[in-house]
Amino acid sequence: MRSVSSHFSIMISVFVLLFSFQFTNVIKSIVNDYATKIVNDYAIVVVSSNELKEDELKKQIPEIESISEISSKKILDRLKNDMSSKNLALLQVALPKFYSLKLESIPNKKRIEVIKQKLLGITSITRIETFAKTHEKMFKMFLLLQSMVYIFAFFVAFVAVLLIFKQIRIWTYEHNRRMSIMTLFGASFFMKSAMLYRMTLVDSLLSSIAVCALYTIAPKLSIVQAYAAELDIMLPEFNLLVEGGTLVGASIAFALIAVTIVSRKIGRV
Amino acid sequence: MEYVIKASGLNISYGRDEPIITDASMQIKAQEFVFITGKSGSGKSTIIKSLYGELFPNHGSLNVCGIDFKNISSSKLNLLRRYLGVVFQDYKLIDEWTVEQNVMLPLIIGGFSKSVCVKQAHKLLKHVKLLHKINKYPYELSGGEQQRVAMARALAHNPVLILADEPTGNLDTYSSEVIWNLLKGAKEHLGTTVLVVTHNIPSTLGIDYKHYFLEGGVLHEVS
Repeated sequence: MRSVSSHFSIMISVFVLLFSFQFTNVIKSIVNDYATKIVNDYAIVVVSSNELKEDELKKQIPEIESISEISSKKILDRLKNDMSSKNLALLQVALPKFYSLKLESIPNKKRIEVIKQKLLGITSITRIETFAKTHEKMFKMFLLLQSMVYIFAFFVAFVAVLLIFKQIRIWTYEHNRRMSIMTLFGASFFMKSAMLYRMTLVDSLLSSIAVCALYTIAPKLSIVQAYAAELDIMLPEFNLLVEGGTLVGASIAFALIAVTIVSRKIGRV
Repeated sequence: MEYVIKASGLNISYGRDEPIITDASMQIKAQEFVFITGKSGSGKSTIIKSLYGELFPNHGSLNVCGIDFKNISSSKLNLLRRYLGVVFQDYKLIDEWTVEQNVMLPLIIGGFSKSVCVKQAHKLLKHVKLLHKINKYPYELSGGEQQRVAMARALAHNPVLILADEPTGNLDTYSSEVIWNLLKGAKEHLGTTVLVVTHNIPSTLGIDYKHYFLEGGVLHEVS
């Protein structure tokens, strides 16, 4: 029973370590995805007395992805009942042109101000609406969430690493007598530590398989999908080959390093 | 290799304590049977420990099986230990391993195949009359039986040198007889050099031997 619980303490710790590592990847992916969505939804509205040329604007502001004219037809349609057709025709001629500027990435507040000043430098542009406040608030909230997840994951991983080292230390002490006897008969370091390596590797491997299974299955669960749809976020699909391989590789590497460090420190005979 | 052990002016201590061995010199040729005797606490076990590298001399020179102890690396020390068969006073059997696995230990370390290990273990356990206890664990055996298992383990890989620390201390007459016969047989049939640390040299041994007496940290050859 004691032996089983000692295996669980390694397995759970490695599971938590890998889970938090993969969770930061998921959050990063979700935030990046959301950032793209914000960029797609975000546009600067420019009012100009003359027609604006996309190439010329891009020369001054490279982050402009596209520029499209906003039709004034809707405004004029609304005024149809209140104005005569003659006045309406006059207004149509006098009305400035409205443009929507889409950007390639989300600029920060400072950059938005720079873009605004550059646009105001163009003589035909009379007015600019950046919607900086709304956009900044949302994006900052997401960045804050990401940072909080990173910090939390770091602390969880740190505690998990301490627990793993502690358990390997306990195992090393438990096997110290056998290891010292083997040393007296000329066993090499790896031979006498083979059992520790085997136990830690098997536990780490099982944990990494469990984490892979969790991240493969969880996004496919209807409850998780419904929740993601409610939040308007897209859950990234778990790449078993790349991400799963990374998790398994990381867990094996970590197990080897941890056992080597601990048993070299304690197991000197 | 004319001398299996060549020690000169050894000074050995535990940590920073006063040295237990102040001046030990000995030259032991291959196939010799050697006894080191002395009073309790005189440092007999300390000498054995220095020969298999558990303790290192502060001064003096030591060469065992052609390996010099001056600046010895851990890989060289491991190599030396594979030439040795050590019988410890407290047996040093691995409790979680069976009798058979314990006997196979030096063979496993030596990289022998499983079939060779098993065959050799069975042969030796038959010699020490413990073949019927092959699957037992050390804690299921009496002190005498444990020492016989330790003896079988020391002989398993046909070592160049056997170091035995009080191999018959606290053993019954039967177990003592088995141990002495095995040590004698190792010298006579396998050409193994044997060094035994003991309180009393058995009177019925019936072979030529060299005798050192340890007193006051100094090793004296008894002629």
